[in-house]
Amino acid sequence: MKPIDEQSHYEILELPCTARLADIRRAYPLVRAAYDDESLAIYSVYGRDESELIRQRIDDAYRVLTDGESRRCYDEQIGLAPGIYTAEEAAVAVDSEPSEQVVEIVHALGEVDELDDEDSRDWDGAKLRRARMRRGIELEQISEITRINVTYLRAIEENAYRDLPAPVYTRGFVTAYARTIEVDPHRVAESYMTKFEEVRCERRRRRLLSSRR
Amino acid sequence: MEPTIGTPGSSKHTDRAASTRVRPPTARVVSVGGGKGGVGKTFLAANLAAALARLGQRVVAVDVDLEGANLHTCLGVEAPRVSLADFVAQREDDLGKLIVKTPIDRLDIIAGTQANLAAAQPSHLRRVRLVRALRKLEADYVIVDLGAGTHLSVLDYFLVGDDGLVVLRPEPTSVENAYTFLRAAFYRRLRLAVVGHGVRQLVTQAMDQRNEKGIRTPLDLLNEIQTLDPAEGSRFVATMREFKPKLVVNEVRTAEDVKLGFSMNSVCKKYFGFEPEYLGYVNYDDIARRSVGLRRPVVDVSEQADASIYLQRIARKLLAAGESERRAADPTSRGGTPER
Repeated sequence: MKPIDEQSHYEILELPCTARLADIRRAYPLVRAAYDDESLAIYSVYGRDESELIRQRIDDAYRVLTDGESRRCYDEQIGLAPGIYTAEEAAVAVDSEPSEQVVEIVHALGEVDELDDEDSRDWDGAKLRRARMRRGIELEQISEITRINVTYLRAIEENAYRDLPAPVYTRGFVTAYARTIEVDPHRVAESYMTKFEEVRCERRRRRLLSSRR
Repeated sequence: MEPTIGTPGSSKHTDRAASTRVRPPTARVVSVGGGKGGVGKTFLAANLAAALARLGQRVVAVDVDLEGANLHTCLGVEAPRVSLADFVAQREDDLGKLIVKTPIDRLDIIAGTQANLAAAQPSHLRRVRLVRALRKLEADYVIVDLGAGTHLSVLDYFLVGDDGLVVLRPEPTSVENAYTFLRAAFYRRLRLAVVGHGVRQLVTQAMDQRNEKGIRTPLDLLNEIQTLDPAEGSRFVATMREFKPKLVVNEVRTAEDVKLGFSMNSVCKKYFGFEPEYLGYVNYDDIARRSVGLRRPVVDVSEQADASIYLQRIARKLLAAGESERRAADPTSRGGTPER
């Protein structure tokens, strides 16, 4: 519990001193984003100057800790025993010391990840949306890349089959969506289209029945 | 006929390991609060209560928001005959007699409806009694739905919880309110923890954001206290460590919204010095909105709905936290607690 300017690089990045390179790389953008000027999380707490200062401290910490040599010096300076600094060292170290401290933020993110098993064959709009959100991709970005109207992308996520075009087009949209967020496009399209067709058939059958009456 | 105290058998099939597990002497209290109205406190309270009941727990949901009681409506209970108002007005001293059944198995409610809108708010003494009585209810879980704002009574109901949930929506107004609430709750807790008169006064002063001493953050306050009395200083630090409110972001729509909880955790750590837990988030979901219209919890309407998946996940997390704390408190029951 120290004021910002007395915190170590590790405390600034909210990582244990044993954090490995991969952890640092993963934690940095998350911590950094929290203190962005546009960040909702600092609203009413930090002013512009303060958040700017924290961002600088975060960047400093990142620069030092991701460079093997600088980190070695820094650790020595603050009296830490030498650890594992580079990806190569981590690879050689086998698992002699399985990271003693769970890196909290990475752990928490992992928890969010595990909610959905992306290897499963069962996909629908809601699951696509969760997969997209986990990757930090916005619908507008997908629209930009795929040139598909956001309205359709949203309809895909909401399983609003009625608002989607004929199967051949919808299949194309779903495939493109999946490819953009880097999930297996074939698997997703198969599963999505099965449900899509089911609902369409059901609707047609009902329409026929009611017109016959 | 209303009282359902200890409904025999209701918990039987749930306690798979009943032979090894000693029944908890007190209910685990989960309070659901967080600043402003309209962020989904009651929605969350109703759904967590229902989700826990579906997981086999005996649950009593309690609406302590006497001025805006509506938890009963979310749980499909119409105009309950008895309510917490009877306890407050001292017509009934036994909280257990105010329990009313809901349509959901294992889930009962103490409603907050009040026939007389001019009725007095509970006195301090009455509130203390209520807080004690909550814990003694015959249940595994007591879910307390708090009112809006940062009135002392709200803070005290919040702090009584083994788990204190702060609900917010991803928008500036709600974030601001959540911080205000967290700050107020922390100072309240602190004021109860410190002993010395001088230090207590200091805490009271610090609660005013524009105090003369220039104490803005808990960190500033800690510095002041430490110079005044080092022993109180360590009490302060201990309180800070123990203060673990749980954040829930409701109605998330984007990836940014999901990250908000992590970011607020970080800000709390850096700015306030205490560390909340990001318990989870609930997706914006049309079915959730419709469920309110149906006067049923969404986890009950559609288990597979997007919102339900997240709500059930939060409930399971609470359950796991409760189990592990129970195990820690009672090492003899080790191995007897059912997983998941």
